[in-house]
Amino acid sequence: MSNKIDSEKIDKGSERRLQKNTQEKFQKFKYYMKGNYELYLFLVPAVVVLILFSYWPIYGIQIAFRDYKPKLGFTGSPWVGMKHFIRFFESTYFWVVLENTLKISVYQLLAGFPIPIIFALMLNAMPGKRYRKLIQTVTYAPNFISTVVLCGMLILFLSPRVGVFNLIIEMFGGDKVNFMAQPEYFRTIYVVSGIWQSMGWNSIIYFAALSGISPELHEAAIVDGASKFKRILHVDLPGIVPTIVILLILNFGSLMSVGFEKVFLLQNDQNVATAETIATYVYKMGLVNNDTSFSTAIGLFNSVINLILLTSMNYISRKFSDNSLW
Amino acid sequence: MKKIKLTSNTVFDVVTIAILTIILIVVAYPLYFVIIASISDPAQVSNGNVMFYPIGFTFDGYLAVFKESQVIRGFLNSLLYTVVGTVVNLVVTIPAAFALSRPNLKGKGFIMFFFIIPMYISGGMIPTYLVVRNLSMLDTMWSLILPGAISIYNMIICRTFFQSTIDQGLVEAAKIDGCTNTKFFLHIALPLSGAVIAIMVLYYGVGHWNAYFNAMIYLSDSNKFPLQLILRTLLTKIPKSTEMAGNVQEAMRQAQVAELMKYSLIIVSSIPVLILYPFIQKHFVKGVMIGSIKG
Amino acid sequence: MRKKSFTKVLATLMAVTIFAAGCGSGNGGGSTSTPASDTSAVGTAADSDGGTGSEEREMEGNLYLTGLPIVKEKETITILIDSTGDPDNMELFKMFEEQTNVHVEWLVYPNDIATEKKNLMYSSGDYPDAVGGWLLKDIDINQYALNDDVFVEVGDLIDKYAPRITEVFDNFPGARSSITAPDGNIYTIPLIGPQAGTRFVMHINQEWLDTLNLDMPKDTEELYEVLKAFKEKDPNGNGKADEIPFSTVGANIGRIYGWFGLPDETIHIQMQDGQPVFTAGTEGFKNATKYFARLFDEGLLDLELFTHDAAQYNAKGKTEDALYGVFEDWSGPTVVGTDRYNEMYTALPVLPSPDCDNPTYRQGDSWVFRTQFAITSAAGNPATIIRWLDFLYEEDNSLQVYMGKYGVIYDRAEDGTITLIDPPEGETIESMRNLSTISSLPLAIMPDIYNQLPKNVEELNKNSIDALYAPYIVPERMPSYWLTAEESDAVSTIQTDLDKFVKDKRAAWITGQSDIDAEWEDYLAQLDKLGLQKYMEVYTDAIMRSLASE
Repeated sequence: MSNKIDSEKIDKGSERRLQKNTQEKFQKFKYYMKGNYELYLFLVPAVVVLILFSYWPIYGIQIAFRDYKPKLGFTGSPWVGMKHFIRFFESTYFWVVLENTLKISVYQLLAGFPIPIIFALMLNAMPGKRYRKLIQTVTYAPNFISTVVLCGMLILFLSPRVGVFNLIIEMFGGDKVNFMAQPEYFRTIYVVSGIWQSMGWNSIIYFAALSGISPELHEAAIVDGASKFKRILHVDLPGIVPTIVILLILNFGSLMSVGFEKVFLLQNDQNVATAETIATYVYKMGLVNNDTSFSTAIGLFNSVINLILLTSMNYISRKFSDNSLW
Repeated sequence: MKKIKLTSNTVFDVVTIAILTIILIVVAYPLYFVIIASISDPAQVSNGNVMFYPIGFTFDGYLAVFKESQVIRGFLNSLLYTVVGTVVNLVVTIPAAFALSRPNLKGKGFIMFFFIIPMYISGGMIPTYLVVRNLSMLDTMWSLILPGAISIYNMIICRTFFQSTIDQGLVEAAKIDGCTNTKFFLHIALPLSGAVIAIMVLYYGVGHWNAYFNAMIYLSDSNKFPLQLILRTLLTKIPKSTEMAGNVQEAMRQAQVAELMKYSLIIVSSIPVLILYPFIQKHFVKGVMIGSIKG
Repeated sequence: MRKKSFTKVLATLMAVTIFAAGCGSGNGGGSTSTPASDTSAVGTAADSDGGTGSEEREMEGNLYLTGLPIVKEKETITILIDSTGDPDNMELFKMFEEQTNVHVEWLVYPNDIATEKKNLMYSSGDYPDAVGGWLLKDIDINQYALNDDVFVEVGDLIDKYAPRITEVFDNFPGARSSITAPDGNIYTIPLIGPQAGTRFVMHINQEWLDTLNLDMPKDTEELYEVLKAFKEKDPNGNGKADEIPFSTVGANIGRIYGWFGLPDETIHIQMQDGQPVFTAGTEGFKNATKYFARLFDEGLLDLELFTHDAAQYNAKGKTEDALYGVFEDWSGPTVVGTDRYNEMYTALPVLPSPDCDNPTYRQGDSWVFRTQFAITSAAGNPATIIRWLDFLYEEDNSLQVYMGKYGVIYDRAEDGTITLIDPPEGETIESMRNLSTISSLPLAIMPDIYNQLPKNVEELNKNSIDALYAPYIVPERMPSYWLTAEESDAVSTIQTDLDKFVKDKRAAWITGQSDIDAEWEDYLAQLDKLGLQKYMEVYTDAIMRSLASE
C-alpha cells in the first residue's frame, strides 16, 4: 500500500518538476526576449530585402528542369527533369572546361589569397605614414580598371613584337616568347594579372582589421623584447585570424565562379586548350540557340558545387577553430 | 640589448620598404600607362611606342567623352544613387551584422544559414526582374538600390568585426547599468566601429558607383542612366550596321575613337573614388578599443 | 512607405501613358475593297500637298487604305530599336510624321542595352508595338513567332495594305522566300539594300613589288617567292628585317582557303555540285593549312596572327615604316590608312594553287536582311504599321532613311538625278548619317536606283575590288537557309564543338605545334565523333529546303 502511495507521489513529483521545468524555460525565454527583442528588429530590414529580392525569385530556378517558354510561364513550361544537365555533362568538352575552371580557381586561391594578407601586414608595420598612404592609394587604383582595358593592356604588354615583357627579356639576352600563344601560360597570366588588380583592394579589409588590434598588446610584446617581425607573427597575425578564416571560407564558396569576360577576352585559338571555361563554353553554345533553361541549369550546377564546397569548408573550420560562418 | 633590437627592426624596416617600393613601381607602371595612353594616338599605343611618355598627343578621347551631355547627367545620377544607396546599405547591413555577432542570439545559426543561401542560389535575372516589376519599381531609382540593399559578403565582414571587437561582456556590463541593446548599439558599438563603417561605405559606395547592369535592365528613361552605363555605351558606339561601302571608313574611325576612349573613360570614372579614398582612410585608426573589460 | 506609394503612382502613370500610346484606335473590320494599284502618287518628298483627308479615299476605321496621310486621327506606334542616334530630333522623322499623321514613340537604345530589353520583354509580357533594327535574329522568330505569338504574322497584311512592299518582293528575286519562316508564314519585314560583292579580301604592297622588281604573283607559289623577297630584301628600306610579309586575323584565316578549293568560314559549309560540303574536312583545307604552316615556319606569316587583337592588327598597318606586305581587310584603308593604301597597296587577285586551278572566294552578303522589323501582338494597329512600312519602302523615302533627308548627304533634283553633298567641316558622311537617320529601319533600295547613286571614293574602290574578284566567287550560291527551333537545338552543341575543334587544330598545325599529315586521319575521325553526320544532316535539310522554295 505504501509503495503505491509512494509511486504516486513520485509520479506527481516528476510531473510537477516537468511542469516547473517547462515553466522555467518559458520564463527564461520571456526574459530573454524582453531583453533582446531589439536584436531581432535589427534583422528585420535585411530579412525583408532578402525575402523580396532573393528568395521570392528563387521559384525561377525551376526552369533548369523545364523547357522554358515565356508564353507558358514558369510553371506552365514542360518539365524535362535533368535533360539540360545531362546535355552538359555529356558534351565533349565538359571535363575539359570543368578542369580548366577549377584549375584557374584553385591557382587563384592558392596564389591570390595569401598575398593581400602579407601586403596588409607589411603596410601596417612599415614606418612612414605618408609613404604608406601613397602606396595604398596607388595599389587600390588597379581595382577600377575595367576588364576590357586590362585585357587590352595585357595583350599589348605580352606581345612578342612590342611588348614590355619581351623587351625586358631581350635586354637580359633571352629569346622572345609569345606568351599569349602558349596554353601553359594562360593560367599564370590570368591569375597574376588578377593579383595585380585586386591585391591592394583586398588588403583593405585586413588592414582595417589590424587597426582593431589593441595597441596594448603591441606594447606588451615590445616590453617582452619582441622584434617587429616577431610582433607581426604573434600579435598581428593572430589578431586577424577570424577575418582570414571567414574570407577563406567565402572564397572557397566561389571556386566554380570564374568570371566570363576576362577569360573570353584573353582567349585565342592557340591557348584555348586551357582557356576554355564553363562560362565561355556555355556562352558559345548560347550563340547558336538561345536557351534560358540551359544556362539556368548550368548556373544551378555551379551554385550547388559552390555551396557544397562552402559547407565543407565551414564544417572543417568549425571543427578546428572557433571561427565559422555558421 | 637595445642595440640589437634596433638593428633587427631596422633591417625589417629597410626590407619592408624595399619590397613595398618594388610593388609600388610594378603596380604603378600600368596605371601610369593608362594615363599617358589616354592622351596618345591609339595607333602609337597599340604599336607599343608609348612607354614612358605620350606620343601623338591628343585630347580627342576626353573630348569624345565630354561631348556627350549625357555624361554630366550620368555623373549626377550616379552621385545620387551612390549616396542614397550607401545610406540604405548601412541601415540595412550594420544593425543586422551587430545582431548576428552577439553570441547569445538564439537561432543565429539558422538565421546565418538563411542569409548565406541567397549568395549561392539565385532565381536568375528574369524572376528578379518580374519581382521588381510587380513592385512597380521599374524605371525608378529604387530598382537600383533595394534589390542589392544588403550584400551578405559585406555583412559577414561587418559581423566578424563586431565579433572580435565588441565583446559580449561589455554588453552585459552595460545592461546591468540599465542600457538596452539599442542604446548600446547606438552609443557604444557604433562609435567604436569607425573602421568597419568606413569599409562598408567604401565597398558599397564603389559598388554603386561602378554598377551598370541593374540600370541597364530596369531603367528605360535614359535621363536616369548612371555614369557607368553611359560610358559603356560610348564604347560600343560603333554602329553594328552592315559593312556597306562607306560604312567601313566610319566603323574604322569609331573603332579608333573607342580605342582612345577606353583609357580616358577609366580615368574619368575612377577619379571621384580615388579622391574620396583618403577621407575614408582616416577612419582606419589604430586601437579604438576603449576600456576593455579584460582583467 | 510614402516614397513607395509615390513611386507606384509614378510608375503606374508611366505605364498608362505607354499603354495608351501603344494602343492607337484599331482598324475597324469594315470594307474589304482592294487598295488602288497606282502607287506613284504616294509620298515623295517633293510632294508638299499631302492631303489632309479631304479627298475621297477608302477607309477602314481610322485607316486610309491608300494615300497620305495614313490615318485620319493621329496614331502612335511604339518601336523598340537599337541605335545611338536621337530620332526625336531628326528632321526626317518629323517630316514623315507630318506626311503620314503617324507618331512614332521611339524606344531607342544602343545595341547591347536594347538587346537586354528585348530579352526581358519576352518574359515580362510588356511588348512595344514593334521591334526593329539589328535586334532580331532567326532564333527570335523561331522561338517567339512560330509558337509563342509574340510576333504576329504579316503576310496577309502585306498583301492587303502594302502595294509597294509587294512590288519590291515581286521584283527582287529571293526576297520573299528569304523572309518566309520554316512554317510558311512571314513575320518580318526586311531591309533590302546594296551590299558589296565581296567581303574581306587580300591586299598586297605594290610599292614593294616595284621596288624589288617583282611581278604581281599569279599563283600561290609565286606568292611564296614574293613573300620571301619581302622578308629578306628589306623593301621598306630601313635596314631592319621588320617586314611582316603576310598578316591577317588568325581566327579568320579560313577566308583565304578558297585559294586551295573552298573558303572555310562561319559554319564551315559551302555548296559544291549541288550539295553542301563540310569545308573543314576537304583536301583543299588540308593543302591550305600546309601552305600556311610552311609560311609560318619560314617566318613569312605574322608571328602574332592568332594572338594580336584588332587594335594591334590595325595599328601595325600604320607604323612609320610600312610593315605589311600582304594583309586582309574589307577594302584596305581600315588597316593601313587611306593615304598609305592609295599610295602603296592594291588588291591581290585570287590565286590558284598547285592542286586547284579554280580558286574561289566567298560571295558578299545578301542584299536581304530578313529580320529587320516585326510587329508584336501588343500592337493595336498592325495595319497602320504596315502602311507606315509601305511608306518607308517608297523609293525616295527609302533613300532618305538610308542616308538622311535630302539635302544632308544626297540631294535629288526635279528630274530625279541624285548628287552627293560634301559633309561640313569636321564631319564625315557617316557621322552626318548617324545624326540624320536610323538607317536600320526597313527600307528597299533596288539595284536600278542604286546604280544611279553617286558613289564616294570608298565605294568606288570597293567596286573595283569586287570586279577583280567577281570571276572567282563560289559558283554555287549558299541560299538564305533558315533553321527551325528543333534544328537549332539539335546542332547547337555540335556546332560549338566542331568550330572549337577545327579552329584549335588549325592553329596548332599552322604554328607548327603539331603535324597535319600525321594527324589528318585522326582529325577526320574526331570530327565524326563530335557529331559531324548529324550536323551535315540538319544543315543539308535546311539548305535544300531553302533552295526548293526559291
